[in-house]
Parts: sequence; C-alpha cells; structure tokens
Amino acid sequence: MRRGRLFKPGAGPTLMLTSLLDMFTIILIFLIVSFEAESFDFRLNPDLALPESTATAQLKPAVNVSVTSGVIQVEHEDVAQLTDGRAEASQYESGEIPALVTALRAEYERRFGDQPTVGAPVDQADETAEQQEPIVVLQSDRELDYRTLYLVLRSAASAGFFKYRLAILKT
Amino acid sequence: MFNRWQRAVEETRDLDLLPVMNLFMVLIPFLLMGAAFYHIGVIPTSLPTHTPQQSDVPATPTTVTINLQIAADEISVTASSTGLAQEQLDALGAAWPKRGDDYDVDSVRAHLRTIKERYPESNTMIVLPHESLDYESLVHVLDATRDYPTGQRDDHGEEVRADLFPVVVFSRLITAEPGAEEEGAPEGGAAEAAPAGEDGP
Repeated sequence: MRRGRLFKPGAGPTLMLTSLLDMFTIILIFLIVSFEAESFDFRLNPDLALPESTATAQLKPAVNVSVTSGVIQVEHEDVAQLTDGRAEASQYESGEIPALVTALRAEYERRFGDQPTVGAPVDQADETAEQQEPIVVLQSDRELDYRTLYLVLRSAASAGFFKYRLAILKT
Repeated sequence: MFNRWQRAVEETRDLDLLPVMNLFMVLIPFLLMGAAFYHIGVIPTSLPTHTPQQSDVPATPTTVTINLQIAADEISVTASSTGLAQEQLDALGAAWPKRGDDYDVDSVRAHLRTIKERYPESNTMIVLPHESLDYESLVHVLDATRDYPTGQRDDHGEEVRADLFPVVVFSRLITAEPGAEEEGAPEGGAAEAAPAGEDGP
C-alpha cells in the first residue's frame, strides 16, 4: 500500500534539471563577460610570477621574451639558460647574451626585413605604425634582479629592439 | 473536457531541456578556453640610444629630466635640464632613506608632483636602480613615479590617474673606479648614456 503510493506504475523517475540549468546559465553569463578574444598570440609563461602594478597601458602585439630563473625564451622557444636567474659572468662583462641576440635578430629580420627603424619618428597615436615598430614584450619573474633584466634589454637593443613593454598583472 | 485539460497541463509541464543542456555543455568549455582570469598590462620603457639625427637639447627650455637613482639603502632624485641654472637644478634634488624594507615612494611621489607642477611639460625619467634590485620592487617604484591617482573615477568606476613622468628610460650606474675622478651625475657615478630614444605610454 505504501509502496504503491510512492511509485506509480508506468511513471519512471525524472531528473530535476531546473537547478542545474540555473547554475549553467550563471556560469555562462560569467564566462561571456570575462571572454577576451585576442587578435594576437600572447601566452603567459607558467614558470614565472609577474609583479602586480597599477599601470594601465594595454598589451599590444610585439615580440614575446620571457625570463624565468632558469631560461630565456623568445616566442616560447628556449634560447639561453640561466642559473638561479643569473647569466654567465662573461655575458655581464660583454653586455649581451649572444644566443638571445641571435634569436632576436632572426625575429627582427623575419618581421621587419631590412627596413631601418632606429631613430625613425613614429606617430604614437597611429596604432598601425606602432605595431610595425620593433618592440619587445618582456615577461619577467618578480624575483629577477635588475642586473639580469638590464642585460636582457641590452641584448634586445643589440638585435635592433629599442622599445620594451614590461608585462605586469593589473591590480 | 476534463481529459483535454489534463492532457494540456501534462504537455506544458514536461519541457524537454536536454537540447539546452547540450548547448550549454558545448558553450561552457569553449568560453572557458577563452576566458581571461587575469589581466595583463604593460609598462612602456626604453634604453638610452644615441642617433645623430636627434638633439640632446629639449624641445622647450622649461622641461627637466628626472634622474631616479634607486640605491640599496635610499632612493634619490636629481634633475637635469639645459634651460635651468645649476642652482635651480640642485634645488630639485632630494633623497629619502629606506623605511625598513621598503622605499619611501610616497615622499618621492609628492616631490615629483611638485616638480611636475613647476615644469608640466616634463615627462622623462631616467631610472638607475642598483644591480640587485628585484623586478617587483622596481615595478613598485615605477608605479609611484610614473603617475598618481587623482581621486576621481571615470564612467566605468575605475580610478583616474594623471601622468607624472611616464616616459621611463632604464640605465645603469657605472661606479667610478677608486681614485678615478668622477664624471657627470648623478651622485657618485655616471649614467651609461644620455637618453634619446623616448617612448610614450
């Protein structure tokens, strides 16, 4: 008698999907709001922690260089090794990392060919012109010392890159 | 009559949600892949360069270039300009010792704001950190010296910041050899080169 009241013959148990649907709707709205369609390839190196900053400048397409405590990458390819965030002593003396200069010079020629860019006046408001400039976006670990950071920038300058964008996490 | 009403109620009660669920199951992984859970920004900087086409003389005589030296135990500001006398430039200099482990960036910012008010066209700052300074501390100092919060909010509710010295040029302090005569500024050494390759924010 009791069993007959609980389970009607012929009517199978149905899933209550309404609450699940509510949850999915909320997740969907959250994801649509935070969706960012980037027109260029920027991948944060998972082996480093960027410092936080109040800087508001937007990330724009440029050559990606990342410096962790163990390796320097250009466009996600390993080009030079570091030991605890430090390069070889001879490289500090010479003021550049030869492997990094070679890799960046190849990247420079691939993107800009033989066109001279150093000293050429560029209209900052012209976004297209700025994208055609040789600019390096530097992802660097927050523990990296200035000596190594400056060495990387000097190496980029040797390869023809005179402007840099230090990647940070916006607060 | 009653049967028809009962049938109509049953038909409207059983919505088939499975296609909607299927759609959600496709959309959610797709959006998860493109979602940004952090926002990356950049700090524009450059290195000193020298090109024959560019002149060291500033465009207007009332601009000053700030030299921000970050030593291990203090942070100091000096100014250089071709349009001001040495006494005037000396009056713009100041130094602040470290407070515990942190630099006194609030005092530096207040001092730079007074310089900016006197020479509003100035925007270039040469940064000379000591070699062991970590990147995070450097960014922290740059945050305090490149701009400042105005206390106002824009239409999106975000804090409005006004420019201080947004054009940052990194350089390196070359320590004078013992016994050798020091050349140039700032304090106890010489910057590697004069800035020329400026970069806007």
